[in-house]
Amino acid sequence: MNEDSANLSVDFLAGFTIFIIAFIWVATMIPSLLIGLNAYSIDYNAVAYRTGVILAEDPGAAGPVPGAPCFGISSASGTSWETLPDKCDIARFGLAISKNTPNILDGNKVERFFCWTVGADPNNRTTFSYPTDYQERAIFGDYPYLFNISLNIVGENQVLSVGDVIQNADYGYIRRDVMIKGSSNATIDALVAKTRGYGYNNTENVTLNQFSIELNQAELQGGITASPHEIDYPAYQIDPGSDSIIINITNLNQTRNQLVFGNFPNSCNLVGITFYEQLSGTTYLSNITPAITAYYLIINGTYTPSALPAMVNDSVSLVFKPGAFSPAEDADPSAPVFINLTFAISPPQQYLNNTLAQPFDYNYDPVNVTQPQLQNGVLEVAVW
Amino acid sequence: MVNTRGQLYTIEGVAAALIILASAYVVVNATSIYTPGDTHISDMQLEVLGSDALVMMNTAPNSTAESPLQTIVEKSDGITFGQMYNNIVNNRTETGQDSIQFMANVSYVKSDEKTVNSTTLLNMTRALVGGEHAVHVSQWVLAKNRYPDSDSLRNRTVLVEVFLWRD
Amino acid sequence: MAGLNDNAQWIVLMGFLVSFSLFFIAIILNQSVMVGQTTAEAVSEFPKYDIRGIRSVIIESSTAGMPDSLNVQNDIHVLSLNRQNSVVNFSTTTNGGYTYIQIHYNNGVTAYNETWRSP
Repeated sequence: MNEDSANLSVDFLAGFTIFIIAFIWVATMIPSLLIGLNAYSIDYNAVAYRTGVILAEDPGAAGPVPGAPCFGISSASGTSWETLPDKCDIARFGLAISKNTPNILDGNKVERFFCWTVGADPNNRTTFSYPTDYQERAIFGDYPYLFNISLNIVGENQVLSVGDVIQNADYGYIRRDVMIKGSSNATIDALVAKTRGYGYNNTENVTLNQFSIELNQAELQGGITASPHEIDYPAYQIDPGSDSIIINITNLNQTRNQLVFGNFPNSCNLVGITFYEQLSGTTYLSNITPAITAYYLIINGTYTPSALPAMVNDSVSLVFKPGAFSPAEDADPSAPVFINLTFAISPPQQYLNNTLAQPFDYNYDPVNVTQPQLQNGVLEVAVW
Repeated sequence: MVNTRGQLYTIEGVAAALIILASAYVVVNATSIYTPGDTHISDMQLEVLGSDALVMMNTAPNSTAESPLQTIVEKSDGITFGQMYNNIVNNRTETGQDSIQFMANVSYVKSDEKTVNSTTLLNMTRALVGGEHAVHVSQWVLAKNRYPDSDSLRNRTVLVEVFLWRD
Repeated sequence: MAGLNDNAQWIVLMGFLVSFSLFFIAIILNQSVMVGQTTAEAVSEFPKYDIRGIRSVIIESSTAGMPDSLNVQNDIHVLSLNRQNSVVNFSTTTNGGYTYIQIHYNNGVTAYNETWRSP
């Protein structure tokens, strides 16, 4: 028998054992080298930053949403997603007015964004549900991030927020400073009526008095070139298609000729509101009928469901909701629109009436219309 | 029968074990794993916040007004700048203010049209002593002003520069 | 012992193999730390606010009828080179009622080119 062919000698076993023990011990040390690497904790700040940019600097997009329950069926497009009632038409959230106005948010988009509930209701496709709807449209990514998005408008006591209260110690965070655009409004009071001859120069005593307001859409969208400022910057623009238009008429009693008719009238009613539009290519005014929900009236300080005639004491406010003149409702978004209010007063006398004067022009003149103001705000996004 | 045959195996086994242990020791002592970029994240957050605040100050609140930052630069009004910027940058959605400090100045081109000078500062909440980890943001402003070594009142572009740090 | 006995060299070879693999893992882990260059660095490096600011000042200064426009434009060149380490070059042309401004911006890391047309 060969003397050096003893592969299983005790010495071999001893040497092999020592080697294997050392090898096993070192192999168990290897996982400790990998302890410092952790993917998720670096991620949250990046996601928060991205969400902050999407909300503050992007106008959002209307379009199809893949996945249940929408399955990519939608024909919507454009950036006015806040007017769409079905959330399956909203592909991405974004609060900026347009991509050329970063950090300037649209008040209507803000209101719509913060309209949410917890959990999904399959019957309700207007209110957004936390967290899935926001994950699909603002947070993105495969991991189901939880989040809290808060907006504080300086000067208002309320903080708008969506999401859970922050509980973890480890979360990603970003804070953006933004400005929120308000809406414009016009106030026609006794002074305006007097200086422009809305009724005071009428020498005729009439029963039906018509007051006309003009919304020259082409001028509003294109800005005034003759004024000191060119208003084509979307942050200051009055856009009838997506902004709220508010017309306040006050001190109506003082438009009467109180020297002749000292007593309060027997009856004074708002009997009708009619809309006309001079469609392009025509020289006459066409009758248009906006949806019944596009506007509402506040008469004498109280909200009146549109049941006319309604008695008027002193004030009428006409509020058009955002989207009342949007391309979906308005056939010709560059044509001037005339809104006529008809007042019936008995006994017949002077009243707010501009049939002999110019229609009240809702434009960029700060004397006519209080221009949209920008308010400061703080937007905070926390993701975990 | 005990003899020295086969001891080579033992010796080689011990030698191999020693090699592995020595290399493991060298490796573990040499590799240092640390989470990168922690300072960069807070820098980025501060930079975004500071720039946003400057952009907001450079936007007029309505179509007829001038932007507040332009008015501040034209009048060299450091006090208004300090109050406004402090307010905007330290505002939060929850109650209580943040504690971000800043130091701001305005850079303009001297009358020789070639060199740049920085004015004495616009305002600061506290002097930079050197231990702070500050970020630098800037904003372009178009304004009319006359600076100490310039002799004409004309339209000029200036750079409002701010250093921001967190206490 | 007659000659060299190489019977146990498998064991030493395996020992060497294990230590080589340890060194390899260590090198990979060391490099991976640098590979995770964070989003935060990339965000800070991209001059988004600088480009927006310069672009708006250039467009403002190129509007017709603004006094001292040459001075303002010289200010932009000098300030951006000295304070922001970036080179800007811009020129205005008029064609068919529209004003076109060509803007070139380069700060060494990011280059930005745009042709802006007046609305």
